[in-house]
Amino acid sequence: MGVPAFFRWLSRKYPSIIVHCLEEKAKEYNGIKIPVDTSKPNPNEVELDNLYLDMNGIIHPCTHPEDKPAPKNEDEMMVAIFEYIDRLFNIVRPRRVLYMAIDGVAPRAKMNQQRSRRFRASKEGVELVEEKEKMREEVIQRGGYLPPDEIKERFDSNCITPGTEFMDNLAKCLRYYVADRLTNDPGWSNITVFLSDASVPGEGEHKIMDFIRRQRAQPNHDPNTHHCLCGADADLIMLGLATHEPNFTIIREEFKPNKPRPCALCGQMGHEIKDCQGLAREKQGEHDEFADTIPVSEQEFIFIRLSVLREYLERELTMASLPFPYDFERSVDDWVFMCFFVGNDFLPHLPSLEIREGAIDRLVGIYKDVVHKTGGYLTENGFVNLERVELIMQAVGVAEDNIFKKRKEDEEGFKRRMKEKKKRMKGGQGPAFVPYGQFAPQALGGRGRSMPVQNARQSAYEMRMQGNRDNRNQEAAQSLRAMMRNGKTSAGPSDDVNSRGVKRKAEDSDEEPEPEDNVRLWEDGWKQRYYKTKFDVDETDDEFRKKVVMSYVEGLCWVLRYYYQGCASWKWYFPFHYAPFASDFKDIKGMFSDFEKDTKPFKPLEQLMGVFPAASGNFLPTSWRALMTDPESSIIDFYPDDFAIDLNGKKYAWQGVALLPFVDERRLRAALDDVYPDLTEEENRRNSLGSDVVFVGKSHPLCDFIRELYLAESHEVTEIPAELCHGIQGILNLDDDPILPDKPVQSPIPMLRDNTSNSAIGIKFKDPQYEASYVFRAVVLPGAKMPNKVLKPGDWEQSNRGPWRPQLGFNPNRQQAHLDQSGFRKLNHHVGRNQGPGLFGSGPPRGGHHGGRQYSNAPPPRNYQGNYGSSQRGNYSSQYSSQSGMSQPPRAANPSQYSWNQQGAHGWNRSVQSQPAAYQQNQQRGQGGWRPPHNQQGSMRGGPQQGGNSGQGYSLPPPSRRYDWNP
Amino acid sequence: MAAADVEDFIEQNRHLSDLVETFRTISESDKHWKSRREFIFRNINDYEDPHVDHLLALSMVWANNVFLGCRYHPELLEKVKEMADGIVVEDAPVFKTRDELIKQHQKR
Repeated sequence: MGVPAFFRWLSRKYPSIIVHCLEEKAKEYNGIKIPVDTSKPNPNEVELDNLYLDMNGIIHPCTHPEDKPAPKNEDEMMVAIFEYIDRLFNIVRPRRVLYMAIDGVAPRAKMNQQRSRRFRASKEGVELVEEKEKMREEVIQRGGYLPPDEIKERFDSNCITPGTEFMDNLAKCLRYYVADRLTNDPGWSNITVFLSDASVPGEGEHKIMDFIRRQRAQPNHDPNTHHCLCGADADLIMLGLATHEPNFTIIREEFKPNKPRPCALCGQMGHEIKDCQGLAREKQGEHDEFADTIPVSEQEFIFIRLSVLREYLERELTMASLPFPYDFERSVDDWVFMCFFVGNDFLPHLPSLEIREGAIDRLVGIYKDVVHKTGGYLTENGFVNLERVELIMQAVGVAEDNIFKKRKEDEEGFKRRMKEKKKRMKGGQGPAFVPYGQFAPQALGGRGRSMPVQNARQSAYEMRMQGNRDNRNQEAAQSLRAMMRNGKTSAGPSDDVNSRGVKRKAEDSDEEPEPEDNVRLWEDGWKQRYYKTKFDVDETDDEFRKKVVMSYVEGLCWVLRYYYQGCASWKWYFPFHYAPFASDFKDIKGMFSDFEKDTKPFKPLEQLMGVFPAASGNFLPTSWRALMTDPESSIIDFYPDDFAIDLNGKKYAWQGVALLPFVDERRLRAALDDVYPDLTEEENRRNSLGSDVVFVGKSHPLCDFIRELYLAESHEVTEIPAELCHGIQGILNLDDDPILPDKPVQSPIPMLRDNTSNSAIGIKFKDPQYEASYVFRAVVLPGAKMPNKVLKPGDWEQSNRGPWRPQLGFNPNRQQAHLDQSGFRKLNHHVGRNQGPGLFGSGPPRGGHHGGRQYSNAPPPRNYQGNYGSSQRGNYSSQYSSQSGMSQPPRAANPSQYSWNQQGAHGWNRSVQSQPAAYQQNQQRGQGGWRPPHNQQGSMRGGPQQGGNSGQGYSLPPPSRRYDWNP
Repeated sequence: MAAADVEDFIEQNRHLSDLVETFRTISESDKHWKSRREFIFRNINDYEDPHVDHLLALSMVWANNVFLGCRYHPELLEKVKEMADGIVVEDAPVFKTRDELIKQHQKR
């Protein structure tokens, strides 16, 4: 579900589901990077078993990042992907399984969305290039400087689609990567790695779900496996809930709206391409030493704990006095189902349900109301009870009219408030004129003696005229601005004085005419207008309306089945661009029986023909490409050059509905029959369906077993012995071009070395198979232990158990952050540095006071007398280099440090202060760059350790109590 | 071919019209289908058996242009407009293509 609003809503409503990830950073010593040992305990105080990567969420940001310069070529992209996986692996530290799933050919139901995305992306790419060229010319004509345009081909993100050479190459690179890590990284030595590349049909996250579902259904599955799924899509939350596994966590990049992006033209931050002036780059830092650092912090990760979400949902959904026994698991399934009404990848959302308007809360309310009448749950194991769904829909339908009216009111109210706000802001510009000269206001009791007023009429006249001039200037400036959109003429002195240039943009956007809305859902007759405008049918056409509703009902059944049982039909899709109204769901009970059986997915190249615009035809063989452009082609209608966008009440083109024609599968296949013989052997290989592959390292118990299979050259399928792999089952089959121990793995990337001492082994893998009629049960497995509750119990206040302490991480018994002596010394040092040498040197009362107080809480180290000054210097320099990531020679003794020492020594004689007080002071002063401990992990650990290395007389601090690391 | 003529044609060519009826897609309303069916009837003689798919493609190019707002290569559009000459579409919807929206936005 590509609905960012859903995640925003969820994390606001259920804040405790989010836990910030602690990430141990690799250290650098003398310029050599020391990798993190991921076999060590997880710093997040939780041990996770399986890590699943929805790879497309990784591939996109690594190949065309939004917040940093794009990689120069494909090799750099691959390396970026490797580094990203390494980072995730380091945070999650899976102990059993790493499952990497790349999107393969998707079900037909997804094709419309894919088409729309790719048609748009292709156009956006062309537009960006055009804009860049235009702006570049303008900037250079004005005498600005721009870095030379690199002669690189624009990366067409459309190549991230199964069947392209890029995806094929990516699969090869990942095999190399896995073999390398299994051979060389101790953290990987015992894990089983699954790679499901783009040649295996199915969307990445659904291949992962299939894996989990099929493992759960076999008797050897460990019901207490802790799953961790990586990806930003909101539907992963639904999928995770749908598994009914008690330990399920999602990891994703922290969502930060409005992140600054570098200008596409000059690469600098702080302006967009259309405001680019081509100015010389500003020096970053005193000696431009931060030139390559991006001013935004590195993207951090968060965990989303589904077990906590389940706690929240339990509170929300629990219903008393039901006519049937309450089952929380079933109500979770119903909740998941209702979320589909609000938006999913396969169906347009119902017009009356907007997540931002609290649609899910409304649905839950209705659900709890109606469930008394329905006599049972809406869904079971992914199968929908339509009779009951109709009751929900009808209840939504009753409210529909009011929802639309309220939406309009809210919009109007919002607009009014914005207008008023703008007026207020404008109004604050000052009076029409300010008295000056002899009328200028003077401070009471000022020294200047008041003079008698002379020639008052003349002065007043001058002031008035001056005021008029200012106003006229402003008006003139405004009309000039209206005439010249991007004009940079300075518009009169008054404009400069008030520096109003910044506000221009906001004003302009206000003047934008509203996109016309012919539907006017807030006025009577909205339903007729909607069907007329969106579907071009008359209000009397009940048949057509019924057809839309029927398709939507099928869609709801298909989507739910997809989440709980896997893809029911590769062929089914919703053949309209818009949804019907909730109130149209009448007599839906008989509208759906079952899907067509034994449907097959498209082949990769076939799917490319189905989702690409003609402009991306370069990813296809020549004769196939011709079908997209040749007027004589029998499928030319699939490939319009331009298409209509219905803003559908939204403001920007990218938010609107792309009105693209649907693909006629029969005609597509018929057309391709003629060009299939043109495929080369290589293309045929890319077009064929591939298999998942499983890899293990040499110390894994499964390794010898697989090796035996290769030695026996038995091409029969073999089942994994459950005891060798934590109860994971599946079917093995020999790989044609396998990764084998002692067989070197060539690096597909020139800048990376070949893996000459490979010890990993790989073999084809297939999920456990079940009969076609098998139903995967959506229940908690016997033997599963529910994780401890995290939320504050509702009756806590009555129970008299003292104040509630919220749980912030995974571990309920987490030690609170605490600084030991050396920590405080360091902190103090930091603060001292940032205040600058002058402060301490001259010893002003404030600085000295603080310095003294902070020191006062720590007794002096034993050998302080002789060594303290030099030890501090040693510490200082090593810490400096580790933080800035550069190895610099230790700085020469800083004169201020000596005086600071005196200050410190002085402080120790003072009264003793408690630690927390000192700590808080620091925070309040906001100096010294002190951040909460989890951000500082690297330097907190690095610091004292290196201080110890410098061999000074005081003992090392005790190892941190929170983690099990050894210095 | 006026509407009455189409009815006559269907009466006289039952077999053909049954075949053409299979070309209707689920998303087509009566109004859209009637127009496209007429397009097919008018031109089917020029596109005998192995080329029917080409005719269907052209009929969709025309229908997508009229009812969905799609733009194709000008020559192709010209061609299908000629083929559709005389088909009356009442009250055809009006669209803004993506390019037009973007241009409009840039002008601001």
